[in-house]
Amino acid sequence: MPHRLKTVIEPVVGVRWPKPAELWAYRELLWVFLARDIKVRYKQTVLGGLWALIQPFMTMVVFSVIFGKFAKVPSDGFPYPIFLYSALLPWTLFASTLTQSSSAILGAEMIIKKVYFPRLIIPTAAAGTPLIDYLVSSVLMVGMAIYYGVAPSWEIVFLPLLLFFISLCAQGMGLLMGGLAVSYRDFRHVIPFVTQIWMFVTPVIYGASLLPEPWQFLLLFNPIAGLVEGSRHIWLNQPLDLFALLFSAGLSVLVWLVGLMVFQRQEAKMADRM
Amino acid sequence: MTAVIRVENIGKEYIVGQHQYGENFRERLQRFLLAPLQRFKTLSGDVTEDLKFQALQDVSFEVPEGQILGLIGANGAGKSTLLKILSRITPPTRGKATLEGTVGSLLEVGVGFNRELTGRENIFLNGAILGMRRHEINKELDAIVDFAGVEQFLDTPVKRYSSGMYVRLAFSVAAHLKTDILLVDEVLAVGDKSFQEKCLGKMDELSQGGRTIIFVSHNLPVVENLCERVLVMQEGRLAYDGNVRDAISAYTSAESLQSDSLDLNELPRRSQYRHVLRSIRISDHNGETQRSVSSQQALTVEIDYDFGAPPSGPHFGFSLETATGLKVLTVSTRQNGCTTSQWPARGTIRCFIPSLPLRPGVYFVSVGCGERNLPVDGLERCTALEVKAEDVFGTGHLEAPRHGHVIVPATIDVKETPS
Repeated sequence: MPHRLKTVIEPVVGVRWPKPAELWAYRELLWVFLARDIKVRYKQTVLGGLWALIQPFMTMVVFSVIFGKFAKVPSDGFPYPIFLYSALLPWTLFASTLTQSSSAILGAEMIIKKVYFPRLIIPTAAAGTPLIDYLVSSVLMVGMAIYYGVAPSWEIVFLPLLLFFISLCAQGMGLLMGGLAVSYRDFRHVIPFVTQIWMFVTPVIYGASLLPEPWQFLLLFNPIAGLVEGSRHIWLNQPLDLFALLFSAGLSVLVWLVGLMVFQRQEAKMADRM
Repeated sequence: MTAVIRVENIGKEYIVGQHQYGENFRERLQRFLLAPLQRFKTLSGDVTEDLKFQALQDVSFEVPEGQILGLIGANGAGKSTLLKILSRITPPTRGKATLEGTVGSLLEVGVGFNRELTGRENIFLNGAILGMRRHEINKELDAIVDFAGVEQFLDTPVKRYSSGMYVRLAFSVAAHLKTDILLVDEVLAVGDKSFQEKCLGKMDELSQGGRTIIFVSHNLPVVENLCERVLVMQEGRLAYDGNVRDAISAYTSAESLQSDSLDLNELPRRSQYRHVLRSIRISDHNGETQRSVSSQQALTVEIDYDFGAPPSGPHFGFSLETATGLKVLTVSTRQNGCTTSQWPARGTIRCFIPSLPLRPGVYFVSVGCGERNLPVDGLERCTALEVKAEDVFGTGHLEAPRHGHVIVPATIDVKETPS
């Protein structure tokens, strides 16, 4: 008899780690989900993809007026709007990846209950649209750099790497909270709340240099802080804090692994718990 | 022939109540903190066994390559749970199953269909979810579209489709899934009559193609047509394994035909129900308690009840359904009326049917009662009633299954057409 695929079904104890070969076999599904999200996104809207520009632009304007003009948050000698936007951009990537990937799991309830495939594909595919949005809203960043005459540093070639770790960290948090939300719906309410608090402990509307010393050290343990600051330093042509960046990248990988573990623990139970 | 599906002692246990449906964090925390106490209770023998529900117990069977296996059983007998385990949607709590070859599961048509996307986009989306590769879908695209008959609407969002078109497209994708093993759950129960027939034809075609298929259905004639072998599930166990004819009678007699009055007190019912219905008796035209009666004869059903206190606005009823789950009749105090207006707290409802209009076969009896339009107690399929095959009209012709479920007396005459 020719060699054939063999599936063994047994009770699941503890964490069911994803099998790389299986994930590879389902790679097309990842693209299909991603394509679906992108296609559905701006269906039946008048402005379509422009929304990806309007939203960050409006946020930038409102924040600049409130925090830059009224609150006079120091911006290391740069015009506040570009100072803000260079950090808001990666922050938005983080926040929307976290929201999308965690809510995608509960959103896929009907599929999860009817068909098997590695569930990891769902939150991973959901991390795609925030990346697309990032690319679109980067146009505004480039525009602002030209307008304010601030050239980014050569390290901009490492920007994709930075984005990778931001997305990874967000996906890790998404896996963690989205996975737990399957059993404990409490986490649905926790996610927006955590995201909001997280924004304030991340140097987005202010610069890390604003913080006094013990706090600057603590900021190191917020992986997004290092990465967001990194993005700002690149766009504003400031020296990078290599240690903070590497440390943040390492933490992001750790967050993702923890999230993955929690998610995979829930994986087998998902259809029963939904 | 070698077995491509091997199921060994599969069991599935659900914990009902507590955390089956999204227990919240506080409850979980509370349970966590109280866990030592709970473990102490368990160890000292105070087990809350009633919280555990055995959806499947010790199910074992093998399916050789190319066989079409039918899986039948009443609602809640475990058919769907078994299919979900084999589809890997949910894991078993005990046992092991091995499947050789690619597996496709069709538990529902149109899984993942997105209303905003066009028919074409949904074909690729749904196909990918079912495990088809892009090149496979591309190859089958024309066949899928043709089968569904939606050519001109291929680039229209499916939210603009009629429900018939939607279902046809959804089934069509599923029907073109080419895996070695197919697990199918009632997907044929879609669309209009002609499309259903088309679907059946497709199933037959798939089976000719040497695929191994497990097919869950309520529809016994369909199972009879398609499957060479049938498994009957009953209360989470395998009650029968064999050919179709015997399976159908096993399925019906499995719910054994008890004699005398049936005590309903101990039978399980939904948790919110009170134990009001006490017992049920069925007697024939001679007034003898029977489980086996004749067509076109009188039948009496008696139900003993105890409300505890005189009920206000109570209603009672029972219904008969076929082995396949088709409800053939319901008799109720609300619909048929009742001679009493003063209801005692405890009593016996006596319902007399002068002539039973059912063709021979086994029928399941469900009873229920309520107060002021709210259900109070109910038991589904608590007993069975056999209608004996008899030449009721004395014509020498017996009713055959294909003649339907109801027999009515009729006078038939012939008048010559003047030429």
